[in-house]
Amino acid sequence: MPQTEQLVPDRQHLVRYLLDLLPEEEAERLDLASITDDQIASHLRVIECDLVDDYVLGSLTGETLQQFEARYLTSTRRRDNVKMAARFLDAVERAAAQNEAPGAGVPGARVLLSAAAALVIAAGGAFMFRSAEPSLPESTVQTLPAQPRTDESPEREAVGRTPVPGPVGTQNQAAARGSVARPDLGVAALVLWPQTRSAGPLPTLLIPAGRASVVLQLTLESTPFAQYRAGLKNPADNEIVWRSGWLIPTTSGSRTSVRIVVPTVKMRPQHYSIELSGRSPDSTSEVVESYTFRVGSR
Amino acid sequence: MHVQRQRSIREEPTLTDVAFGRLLEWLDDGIDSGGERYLEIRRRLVSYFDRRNRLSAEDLADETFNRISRTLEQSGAIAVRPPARYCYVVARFVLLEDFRRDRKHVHLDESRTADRSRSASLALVGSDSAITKEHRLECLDRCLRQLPSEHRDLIVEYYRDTHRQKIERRRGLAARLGITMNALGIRAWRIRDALTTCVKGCGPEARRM
Repeated sequence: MPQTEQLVPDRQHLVRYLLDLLPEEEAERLDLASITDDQIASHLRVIECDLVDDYVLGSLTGETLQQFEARYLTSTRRRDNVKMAARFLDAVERAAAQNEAPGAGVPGARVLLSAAAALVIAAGGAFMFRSAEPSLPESTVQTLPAQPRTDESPEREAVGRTPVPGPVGTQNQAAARGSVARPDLGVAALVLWPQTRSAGPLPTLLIPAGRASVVLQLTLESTPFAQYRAGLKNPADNEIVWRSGWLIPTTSGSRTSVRIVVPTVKMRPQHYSIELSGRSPDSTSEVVESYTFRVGSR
Repeated sequence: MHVQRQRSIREEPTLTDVAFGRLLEWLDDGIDSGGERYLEIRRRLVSYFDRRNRLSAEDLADETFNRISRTLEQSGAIAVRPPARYCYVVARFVLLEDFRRDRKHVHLDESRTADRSRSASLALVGSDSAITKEHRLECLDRCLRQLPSEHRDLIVEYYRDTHRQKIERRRGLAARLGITMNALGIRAWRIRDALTTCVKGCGPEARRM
């Protein structure tokens, strides 16, 4: 198929084209190339895909972020692309976690993260999850609303606010009733409540060896904002060691939360706090909640 | 209002089978693509109109093909080559006419900034029910599982991580496969596109993913 004689424009140039930042004449030249030149058409798609992914992952900054929000997101079709990208990347993350889990490849292991055999410990009432505790009296099970099966679905959950002397969480509750039998795949997860409501001991997360990421579910007291972003902060020096992309909260039952997947390379055995910021329509943001927890050593 | 607008874009009824066949043959330009070339050019046209912030990008792409088809019927041939270039020429007219239709509300020199709103990103936030959301996620997972394992592994490897980790991972992947980073990017995009198509076929709940 025909190609233009010119070299393919560099990435930054194509990003500027996608963000409508090029002079009209140059934009029209690329309009033509985007239809007639197979190579440029392919490059544009790849670069657009990466641009959208970077936005979802919170990697865009400065003018690029500003222009992306002011210009790119003005089309319904492109906004749908962003939503699709967010879900796609979430699915990729879950699939990657499954690939790295010791039990990966177990037939029927449908829910990638939710079948985790996490080692989650609530300090003070330290306990270790196991797959199922069918004989556990229901009174010892922390009741949580049922969750959708994938998205925000946990894994093994611990409610840091109210440690209890036994396995807790949705999966365990279902398992306790004998309705769920899940393979152990080994992904750590923790449900955190805002600091203002955390009266109990500091929740502690034990990260199983070899885990690439952990899932933290940040419960919201209210949802005045449409999007949220989490920053993992080292309280020792107040440095943000990791930041999520802008995320849309999810509601399950009566609980609304934001789910983040944090790379374990960013964590060491110590205390951490998480600052959750909400973003307004005018793109200003403010910290709305904070959470604290401890990463324990194994 | 939207329906009226669509009607105004489509000046003529849709193509007959014969006219559509002729259009496919012309687009193939001597190499039978089995309709792939039509789909590819249509996709590019939709993106072109969408980048120009046209609300009915798909209708405008179809209108472009309708006009080309009529020309083929009337003239028997189109001298401009390659066909994609002629598609662009016609698309540009279709675009300008669409701007003109909006002139009452939008000045031409504002066309690229029309339909822009700072609050647009708010629409990212769906008011979907938990059930709908779950349907979508189930569909996405199902489609991902249905991919051949080598494709699934490739896109999981390609799209995971961020920043430096992502770049290094992609570089390693390209080296293992013995292809350039650009070729890898296109390969990964095609698999992702197939996944998107699969998701769109899941049902009405999932189509607006």
